[in-house]
Amino acid sequence: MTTPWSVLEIEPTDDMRAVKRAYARKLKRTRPDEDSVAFQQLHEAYKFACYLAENGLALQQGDEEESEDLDEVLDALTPGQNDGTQPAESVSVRAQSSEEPGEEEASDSGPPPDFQYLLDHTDRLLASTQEHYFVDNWKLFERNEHLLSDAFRISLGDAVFARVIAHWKACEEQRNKPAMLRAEVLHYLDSIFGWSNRYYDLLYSYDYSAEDLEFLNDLKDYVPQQASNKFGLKGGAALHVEKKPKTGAALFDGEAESLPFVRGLAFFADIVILALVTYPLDLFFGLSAQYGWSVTVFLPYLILAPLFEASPWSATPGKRILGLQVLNKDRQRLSLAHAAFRALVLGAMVGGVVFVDSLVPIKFSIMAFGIGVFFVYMHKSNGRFLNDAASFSLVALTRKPGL
Amino acid sequence: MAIIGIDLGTTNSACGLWQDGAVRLIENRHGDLLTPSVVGLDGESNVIVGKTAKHRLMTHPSATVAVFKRLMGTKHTVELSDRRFSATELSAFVLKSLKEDAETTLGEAVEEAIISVPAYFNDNQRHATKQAGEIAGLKVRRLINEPTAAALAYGLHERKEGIFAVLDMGGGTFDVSVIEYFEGVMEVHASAGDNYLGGEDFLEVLVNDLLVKNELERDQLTKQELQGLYEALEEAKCNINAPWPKRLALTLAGREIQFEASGEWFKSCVTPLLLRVRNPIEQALRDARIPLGDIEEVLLVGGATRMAIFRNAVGKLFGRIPSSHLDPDLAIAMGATVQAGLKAKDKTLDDVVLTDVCPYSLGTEVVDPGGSGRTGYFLPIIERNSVVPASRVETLQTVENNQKQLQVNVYQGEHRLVEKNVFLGAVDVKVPPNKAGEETFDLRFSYDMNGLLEVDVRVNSTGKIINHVIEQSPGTLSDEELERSKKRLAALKFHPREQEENIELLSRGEHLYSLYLGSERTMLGELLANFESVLDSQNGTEITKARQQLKELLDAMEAGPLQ
Repeated sequence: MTTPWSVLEIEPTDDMRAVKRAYARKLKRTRPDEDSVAFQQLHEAYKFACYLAENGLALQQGDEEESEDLDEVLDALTPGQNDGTQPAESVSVRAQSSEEPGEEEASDSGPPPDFQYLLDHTDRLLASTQEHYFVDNWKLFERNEHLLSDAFRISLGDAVFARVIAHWKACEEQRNKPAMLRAEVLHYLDSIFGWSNRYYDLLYSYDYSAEDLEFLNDLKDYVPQQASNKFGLKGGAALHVEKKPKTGAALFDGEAESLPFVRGLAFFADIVILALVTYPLDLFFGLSAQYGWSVTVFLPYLILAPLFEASPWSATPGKRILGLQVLNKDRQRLSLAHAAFRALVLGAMVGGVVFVDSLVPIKFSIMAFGIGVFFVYMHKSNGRFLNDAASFSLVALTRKPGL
Repeated sequence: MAIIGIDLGTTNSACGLWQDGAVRLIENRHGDLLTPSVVGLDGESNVIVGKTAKHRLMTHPSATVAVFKRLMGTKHTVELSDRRFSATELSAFVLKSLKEDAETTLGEAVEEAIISVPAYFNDNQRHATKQAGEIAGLKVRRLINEPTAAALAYGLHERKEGIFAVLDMGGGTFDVSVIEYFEGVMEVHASAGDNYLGGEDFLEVLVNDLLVKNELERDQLTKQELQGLYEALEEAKCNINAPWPKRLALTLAGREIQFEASGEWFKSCVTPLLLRVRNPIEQALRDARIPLGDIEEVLLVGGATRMAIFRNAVGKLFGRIPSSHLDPDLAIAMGATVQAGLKAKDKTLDDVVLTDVCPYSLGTEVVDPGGSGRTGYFLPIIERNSVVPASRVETLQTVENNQKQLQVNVYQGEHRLVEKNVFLGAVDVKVPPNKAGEETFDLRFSYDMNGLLEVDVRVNSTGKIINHVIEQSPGTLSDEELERSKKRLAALKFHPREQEENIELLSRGEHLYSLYLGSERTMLGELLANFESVLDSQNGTEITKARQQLKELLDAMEAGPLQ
């Protein structure tokens, strides 16, 4: 059986320098680019020897114990185990260092006034019904240069964290369902305050339960790097970006279940606007008497909607007000033809129902059943309606509500 | 045959050669050590690289391009005068130009190179860099991580043992490596980074903020104006440490704009970026499992680390003053050169060994280990910051009854869901039909020192082994595409070296012409026209004389506004 010592060709020792010297000597004969298998064995032996030497285990160990020790080492080597102690240590080191000379701010005399201001801002956002939904509203934090100082950042981060958890708990009690902040917002805040890196700090210094902090593990493996749309490229006549195939899974980020309701509201707003426009015409020409109200309002909707949806707005006025956009499968603006097709599909669907109704009058109970099915479908489809699917388009909540 | 070491940077590139036990950096055709990574076309299928192209960025923005390293490993293309180029091809131009400079200096053919890449470059980006070398006619013997290269140069320079942190902020990327040097062994413990954080991003936020403050939209500016704004703010950024604020007077979208670039303004603009510096540092220290207190020295490399505000932030973080004994712009090229000497088995480097790590986790797609039956979960096989070359096996089993086929998808990244990670390739395996979970197979990942991944699948019941080298990752070229690229680029030539200086002077004059107004502009116009007519005369002595005169004049004018 090989021990790390026989691989390194030295006697067991607690002397780190001796281990390193032996490793260096062997390594020069076992270069990683020449013999990768031998190098791997050597490197593993070296790591193991380092572990034994560091913990004073080298001299007392016999051959039989080794296999157990190996497990122990492997445990120790898996990342995660040390997560708890390390950040804590580095924090304390940093806390000392921030008092060293060279600091112009001299922020020792209590937290600067920005502290309370930023906390108030947090409270305001959390109390609002939807402002906390948008990452932009939270960007006030990153412009604050006090955040560059560790003491400030950590104490503010902990205070904000407490508020976020409290907000979550309060929502849970009221509505009996979890209403955590949107994932994107949490990722953003985590990138500033580094909560996920301070998991054990938060767990031990405050009275959060492990369940409260579970979501931090999901934040951890988030990769925030994003290229800007031009990649910062300078010059060049044009940049031709290769289109990425979009998967349906990433259709909406977050609050998809509230979308059908928002869309209904948008449609209602459109109809109201149209009714306001068509009402004077109706007074002069008596359109509604001839065709009925539903046709006088719905038909102009079908004609006007494509024009708006293919415009830079990508939305009818009602959708625009509520922050919705109509997009194609690549999440780009629709062409006029595509938008017209979309309206045609909607018209054909509604027309079909009306036509069936004219042949065989649909009973109220069947109508109610149909509406029920529609609502279930709406819920299941994450707000992607049948006419969206049939016209290869989608409606997404892409911007802040408002014109 | 000589192997050269190349630092292929976002804004500047450089190269060198290991000679007589020391680094020898190679001057380019203009006598500079740094060649700006800017590529342009001029009229008749001529390529311009470097300083000349940089001047032309303002006068010919549609035919010149910079910061294309950001596009490496993607299929995006840039249009220059009706021709499209990928980032790989544009990088190949820069490499070709460096290769020519090296050949002229050394007087022999150069066919092999070591190229440095950001430590946090993913597999696709590394492949693209390697292929850029191939298009340029260089066999890439090794890709070396930039912070590792810097540490190598530093370690050999100072001969100081211990653990140090290398922070490398160049034009486009930010890398952190925790490195230990002892007994001639340079051991990288961990690397982490941010591929979209560099000097160019600092400039970008300044430009954006100035536009917002003056209620201007980017689309309102012409390309010239925008480039002028970039250059003015770049200069302001480099001089931001000066005690007095710099005043800028610009004409943007037909408006005269006065702006004061003060240190306060700069600080408030770049704070969000400085906040992003922290995460990679914390990650690298955590992965290396080295407490902050054990770091003996903090090394800064890359041009962007010259910013005092960055130095302050890093100083506060580590609790010590960071050092930069080597020129931050050249340290990486020097390190790549040392690696070239190592690769050539130079006797003077006999006692130096370098071990590096892979910066990302590599793994495969599996069904939810929790038992929900959902697919799309990531199983890391080689964990990030494992020492390379690395080889690991994982035993997996089938999930369905009578499963006949198995697709092994290979991903790189840290997210638990594969869709958030980078897809590298797939291997198809036929398995004998059996009950779910009865058929097992061993999946072996081998990652070599160049960052090439090999996947072996062994079906245990039949003993059949399928071997697959993941080469064809998205964003890289197939062999035919590579050949086509080579041919296409071979048609584009550099200007003859003797003319290069004249062209550089002209482009510099044109650049100044676009900056000045009034009588100075008229005078410059006349001078340039005059110089062109002397060039047309093809009289050697006349040209040399005129060139000298023009050069002195331009030098004086360039120095003017800075006084």
